[in-house]
Amino acid sequence: MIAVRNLTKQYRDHKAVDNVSFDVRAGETLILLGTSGSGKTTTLKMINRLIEPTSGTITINGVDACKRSPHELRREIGYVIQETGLFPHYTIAENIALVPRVLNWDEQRIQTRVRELMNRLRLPETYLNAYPGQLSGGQRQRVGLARALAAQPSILLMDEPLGALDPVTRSHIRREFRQLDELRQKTIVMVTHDVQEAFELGDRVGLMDGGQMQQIGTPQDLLLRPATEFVRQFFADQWLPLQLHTFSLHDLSPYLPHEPTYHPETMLLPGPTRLAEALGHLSGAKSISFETNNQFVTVHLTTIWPALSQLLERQSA
Amino acid sequence: MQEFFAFIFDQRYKLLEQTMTHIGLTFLSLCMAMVIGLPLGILISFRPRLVSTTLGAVGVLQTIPSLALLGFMIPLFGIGPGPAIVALFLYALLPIVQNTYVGIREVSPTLKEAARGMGLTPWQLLTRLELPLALPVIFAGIRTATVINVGVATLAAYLAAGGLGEFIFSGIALNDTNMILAGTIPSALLAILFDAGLGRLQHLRKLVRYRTMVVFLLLAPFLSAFYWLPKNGQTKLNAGFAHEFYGRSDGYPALVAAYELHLSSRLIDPNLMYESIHRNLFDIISGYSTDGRIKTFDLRTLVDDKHAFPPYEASFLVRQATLKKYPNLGPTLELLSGRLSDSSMTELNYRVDCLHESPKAVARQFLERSGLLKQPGINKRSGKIEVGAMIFTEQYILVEMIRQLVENRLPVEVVTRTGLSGTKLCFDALEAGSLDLYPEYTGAGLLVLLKPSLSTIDSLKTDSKALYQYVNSEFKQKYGLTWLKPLGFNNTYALMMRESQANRLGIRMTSDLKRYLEH
Repeated sequence: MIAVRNLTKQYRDHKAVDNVSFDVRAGETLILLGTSGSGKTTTLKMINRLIEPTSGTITINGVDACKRSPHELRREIGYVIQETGLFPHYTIAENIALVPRVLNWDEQRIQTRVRELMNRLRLPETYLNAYPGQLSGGQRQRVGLARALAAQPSILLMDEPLGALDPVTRSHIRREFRQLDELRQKTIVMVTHDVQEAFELGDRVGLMDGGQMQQIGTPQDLLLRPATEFVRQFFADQWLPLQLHTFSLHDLSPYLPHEPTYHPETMLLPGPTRLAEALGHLSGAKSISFETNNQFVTVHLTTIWPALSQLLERQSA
Repeated sequence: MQEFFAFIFDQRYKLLEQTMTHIGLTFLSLCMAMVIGLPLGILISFRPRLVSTTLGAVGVLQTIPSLALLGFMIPLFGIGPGPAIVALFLYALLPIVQNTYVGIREVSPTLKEAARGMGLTPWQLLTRLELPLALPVIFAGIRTATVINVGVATLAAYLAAGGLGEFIFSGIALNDTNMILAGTIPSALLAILFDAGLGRLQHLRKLVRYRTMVVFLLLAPFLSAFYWLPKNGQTKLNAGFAHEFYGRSDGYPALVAAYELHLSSRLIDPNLMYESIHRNLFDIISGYSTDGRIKTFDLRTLVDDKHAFPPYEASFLVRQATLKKYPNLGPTLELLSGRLSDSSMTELNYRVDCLHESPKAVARQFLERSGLLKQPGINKRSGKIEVGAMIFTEQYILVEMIRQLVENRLPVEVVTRTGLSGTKLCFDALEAGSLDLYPEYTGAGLLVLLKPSLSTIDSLKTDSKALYQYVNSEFKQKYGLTWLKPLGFNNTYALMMRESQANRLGIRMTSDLKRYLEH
């Protein structure tokens, strides 16, 4: 879907992006992870040509992005930024309708689409005529997302979309985003410096440093098979929490006893539930269970840790 | 205070007309400044390289003192409403260009990037984001420009463009406080009104604000049209009157009284009057019968067949104390008596005004030709006399004659104080003792200074000898001042028209003019 080859951005005195190549497959979420100045935002902005590359090519759906008119290209790509960039003099409805209006959709279709998005993003319709200044940070972020999705782009670029929110709101919205159908089908490139966010939302993660791509792969690849010492160091601090975000209950099933029936007094969770979330439930209940291959697995606080250590041992081998 | 209101009431039509013209001038130039300034401000926000040059250039225009800017307009564009509007336009440019640029530039870069990221074209970015957000700042600039223009537009009267400045300039020329206030107070009120009105606009809530601003932008051209509002009185011929002529009882009011002639008039600086009739800005002016420019611009002096204007025989008005102190002074100055006819004075004025000879040289040549200068022989000067002159050419020539003649024949030093604004000022200075003498005209002495009853004026108006005797004896008695024997010419007010036009319309006398206008 998106193919980036040998992308370089040279500023007068430094190289912001240095010979970066990667692919983003259709429907995939790629996270560009890195510290400030790593070149991740510059890379993102070159995809929709807010920044012009010094050299290298970007191909979107088989067409060279540099051969297209910038504003037409951008109208097909949703764009979400940290401060949302909502127009303060437009109402919420007008903000969401911005791109469809530019594309000359008929008014009826625009209204329907705006209401649909407000519903999906759980924004009350009473906000339609409110101004961005009257909304909370989390609500503004949802409106920002709705605006980017309004014209049904197949590609979405997100630049630290949750960066301005407090940690609690942040994880709420993160969960909401993950459950949003509208987002599941999109090809997404997202920039963040938050490792947990990257692991939670990303199908694949590209870790950047000093303008270069250090390693690109699934969260598990980066965590368990770091390509360089830099990659290992980068995750060392949060090694355990990241494991819990990376693996699901499902991954534990080989190391736990299976049972044909399920104890009604335990809490039943879906198999793909991440371990971090499952542990959250275990802090309240004695045990939880999940279903795998038509059999049930019960997890206790005492059995989850030995199973996890076996899993990690197997993974790193 | 009473007098002030009486004046306002008396002049209400003129005042209303001036106010309308004033609003018209202000908004006409403001519209031009918006039409040029807004796109210019937008342009430089797109082209950062042009910013410093453009803002520098319009900034320099702003630093030129307003009176000087209007002064520059005369050689470049002449006089009249056009140049005045150009000057006002140049003044309004800086606040508008600058605020447009600053308003656009200060829109948050994040917002601009978000908008670009959405796929807005530069034009969409401008109309949907930058201009709406910059609007309050742009409006603040328009507000500043409006208030500046209301103030500077008072100077437009200097270029014969009308407006409330007419009364201010006239009031200064005539030393008439009521008249100055009659121009100042309405223009200050206008400034306050527009400032407060536009200020409120800036603080309105969003949607209402945009609507009201749009209304204002539509209203501005409408207010500009005030400039062309029909004027009082007839419009066949336009008159340009000197401030003094308009305000003095022996000027326009005398003309109205004698002929019942009502002209639609602009008030104008007397120095620009002749030029302006020559440029067809006016058809009639209130000239002086010995002015040199009559000859230059080929003007016809209308015969004052009903004697509306009293004789204005030139003479020297001297303090008696000075005559006593220097017994030879009176006889020396009277050597000039009867030596200057209307035509010879016009000729002298012409040489200075139009041939650009210096008053000093012209006076010297005249004295030499008349054989009035002796061989120089005086080295030691013991006394000093101060001679005043009003601010027009003839007076400059006359004081030069006085200086050269007196210094040639008497052992006194002559100090000249030229450029005094008018009769009242010179007379006050003479009475106070800061002047010893100045050239004055008998008619002015009668009507401006003595102000006797109407019957007395009527009895003296047609007889210049009787008038001279009357003012001389009255001045001796009342003020201790002497009128020396008249110089010979009569520099009275006269209506003038272009020779070609007067000829075509068959107007020779003032009565002909009245007949033509009423026809």
